[in-house]
Amino acid sequence: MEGSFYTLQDFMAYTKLVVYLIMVAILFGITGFWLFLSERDADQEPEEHQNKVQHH
Amino acid sequence: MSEKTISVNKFLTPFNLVAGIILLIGAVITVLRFTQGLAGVTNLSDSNPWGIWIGFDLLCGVALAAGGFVTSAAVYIFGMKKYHSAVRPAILTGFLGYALVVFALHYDVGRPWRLPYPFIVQPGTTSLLFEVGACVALYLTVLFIEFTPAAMEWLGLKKARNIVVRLTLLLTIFGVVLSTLHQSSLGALFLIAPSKLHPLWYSTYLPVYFFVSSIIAGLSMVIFESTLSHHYFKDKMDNTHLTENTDVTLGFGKAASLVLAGYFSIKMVGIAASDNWHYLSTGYGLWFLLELLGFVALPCFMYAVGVRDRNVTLIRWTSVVAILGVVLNRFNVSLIAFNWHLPSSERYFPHWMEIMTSVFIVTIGILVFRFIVTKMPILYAHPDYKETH
Repeated sequence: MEGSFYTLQDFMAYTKLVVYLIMVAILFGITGFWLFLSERDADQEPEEHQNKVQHH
Repeated sequence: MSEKTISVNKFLTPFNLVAGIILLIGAVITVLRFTQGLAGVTNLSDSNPWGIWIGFDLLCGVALAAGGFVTSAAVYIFGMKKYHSAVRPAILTGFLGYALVVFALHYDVGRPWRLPYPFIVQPGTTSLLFEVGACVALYLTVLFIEFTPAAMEWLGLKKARNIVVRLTLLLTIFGVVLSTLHQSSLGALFLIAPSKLHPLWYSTYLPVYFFVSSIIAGLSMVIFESTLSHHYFKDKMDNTHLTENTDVTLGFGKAASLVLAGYFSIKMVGIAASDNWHYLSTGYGLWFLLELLGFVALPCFMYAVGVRDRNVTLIRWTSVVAILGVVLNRFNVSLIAFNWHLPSSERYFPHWMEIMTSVFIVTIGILVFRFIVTKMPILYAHPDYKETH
């Protein structure tokens, strides 16, 4: 047979593969982002916190 | 100077003058709309039956009013009591937002007196529009009841106020359920038009996108609204509200940053699931990337930096970017990327009277907000009820 054609099965297999890879990246990415977002929380004591707030 | 002259001068501020002119123009357009019909004041057509009265007044109005359910859920369901001072302003903003959505619908719907029909004449329970209508009507009622304690404190109706306050948790649960239903259903409305909406915006995840982005809009609106209140109504705020204002900004900024990161992720999944990568290099693709990177990824990062550095000013400016992002998304889905295949001559562009009507409705909202905040205990605890807050 000349040329090639793609079935719905091919399409689903391809897109699912990409989605699964993105999901793995999201799992690591969101975890890293959460650490980035909250890593300074522990350093902030309640008393300190009022003083450290920046109002420009 | 006589007392009368002083009170007239006090009333004639630049803001009041501009608001007065807008109300006057709005009143004239209202007369034209209801005497000449939609054709007299809009550019709507059979190809474009939904214009900015749906794209802005309804879709953006509902999304931006999400602060009510987000804040009350955080405080009453998740027990984050440190944000309690943000509840009443958020409920008020939500209530006014929804009330104005329904008000705007009277302009947009051809025969507005038939708005209650789905409930009594034609059940249509399988219709998404019925679900949206039912939820908006019910949630507006819930928001009204949630708002009434402030009005009752102002009017001195102690007993009635205490009865409503006891219903707080029940009303909050209703609010969360109804909001989840109709925020997502507004996105689901567009699932019926896969051939009309550009593939980059069309996705089977549209209901999820609309719901998640409404949380972003709600959180950002609370920050934005508290910033404006802090600036313009500082004299109306008590110490609790003034000191908790910073906590609210930092806490909601952090939540918004995380939700934006989640929203960005599911948008990527949407592109991958439909294999729409090749559209990204087109004109519409660049516009989509501007929305995704400039108004989702950027505010996500800005919020995160603001929270890490405890930079309240940065968080407040970021809330504006995030709100614009949600508005841009609703415009893209309902107007810009809708009917994208039509020639430009057949595309919709709003009539100036449509734009003016939206400005008129927003102005009414601002004026009513100012009246309520000035008269009722929204930004301060009423002295007779301090112990119950």
